[in-house]
Amino acid sequence: MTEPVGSVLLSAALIVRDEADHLRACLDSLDGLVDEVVVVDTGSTDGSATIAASAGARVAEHRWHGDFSAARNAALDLCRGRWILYVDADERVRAGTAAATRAVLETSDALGLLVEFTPATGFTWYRECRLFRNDPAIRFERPIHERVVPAIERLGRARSTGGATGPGSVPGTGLTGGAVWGRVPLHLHHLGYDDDRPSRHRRDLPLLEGELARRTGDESTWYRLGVARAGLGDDRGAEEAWREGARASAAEGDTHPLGGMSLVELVRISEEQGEDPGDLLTGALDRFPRNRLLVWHQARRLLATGAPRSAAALFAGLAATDLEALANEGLAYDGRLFGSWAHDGAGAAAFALGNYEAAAAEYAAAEAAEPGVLGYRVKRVAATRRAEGVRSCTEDAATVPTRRAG
Amino acid sequence: MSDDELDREILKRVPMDRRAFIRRAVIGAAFAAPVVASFAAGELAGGDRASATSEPAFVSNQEIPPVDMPVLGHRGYVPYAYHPYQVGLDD
Repeated sequence: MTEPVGSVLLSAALIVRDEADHLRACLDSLDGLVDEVVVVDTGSTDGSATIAASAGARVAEHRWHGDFSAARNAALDLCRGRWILYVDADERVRAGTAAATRAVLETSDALGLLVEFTPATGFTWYRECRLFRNDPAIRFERPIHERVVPAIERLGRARSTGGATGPGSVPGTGLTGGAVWGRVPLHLHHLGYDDDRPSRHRRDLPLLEGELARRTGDESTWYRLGVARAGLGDDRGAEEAWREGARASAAEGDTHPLGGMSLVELVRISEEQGEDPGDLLTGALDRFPRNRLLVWHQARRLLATGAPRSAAALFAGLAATDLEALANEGLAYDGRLFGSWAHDGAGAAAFALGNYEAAAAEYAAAEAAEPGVLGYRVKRVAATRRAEGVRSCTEDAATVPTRRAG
Repeated sequence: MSDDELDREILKRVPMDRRAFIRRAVIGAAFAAPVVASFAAGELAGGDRASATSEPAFVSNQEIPPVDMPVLGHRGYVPYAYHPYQVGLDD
């Protein structure tokens, strides 16, 4: 007899297709956290389903027809836990967080819970909704970049109207609308971007184009289309997509973080083509003042245009960024932005100001943050020798006899 | 690697047509301890993609080491940031 929904605390729901390389390690990382694992296979030929079954998962087949939401919802339909964690085979649960997470689930009155999520190795993390109530009203939407948050928010509003649950929000996440949100100390690390990106881009490209045919003005999808095209070597197509993303973002008048990322890419392209991105950068920062990549570009430009003190302040700010607070802002950055890149920039600013000892210290910090980059060592040595030269000249000057007056 | 060895290593990595310039610049420099490194910084900064990410404003001024925008290794284009799918920002 099939156990009813709610018979266990937490189910994990996965969809897989040819994930044999990743699946075992993912399932191992779920051990001790979830009470059951549901795996929906969408057409594997590499034995993924067998791996899942041998690990104790409940496995079902789902015919793939280009719709991620349909596949995910098929998995949700089979879950029996009071809560559902959706996770992908190329993700890992960080060890040591299971007990604390389960304790939250036992007492939380939230509908959806945010986990800590590192989207790629070497990047900072953000908060993302991966845990939610097992409720038939909570289902995924959209064929690609499927989303479950709108359903949770609708359910929250409905409950609020009915008086069952009060409205709530999590400041800084954009999560509003009546659903009750909470957080769990669960950390997921996504490895999927660490290996074969081109195949992922080839898979995503037609889905993104299909999404844009339906939602022409969606700046986040334009940005992602640009990423996919760039990843497949289509630089011109990528630039066109990012220009569309920037236009869509401006037209909507909002400040979606990925609208800012399209502008970041356009600034980068402008620089690589030897153009001055000044106006573009200024306009971008007016709309996205918290985008740290734009801040970094601005600092470089200040340095290039003879304002090293202002540049130094911006680089120092990047190096001192509170990554915990940053997680609430909706973007995960290449972590080097706050480490080696920030110290590299601070070193150049100190160098420009003639403070060679400080420059050497910044370059040493860049080296420590990213060992193996010869450029940082070169600059550290250069700054150190300049500092020694200055000291030598100062000492020489001090030993020159002073001409006595009269 | 000593700093002198580093200088030699750097010269090996700098393109041939730039080596003569760097040697002349080092010999003719005014400071007591100018080094190959200080002039070659622009050639090597930024790790993997230094020569591809030219920054004319910096390269033209050899007194300030460049601040380039590197990419993640040799795997082609990699985004500089990611955004979560499961937040309610774009509805």
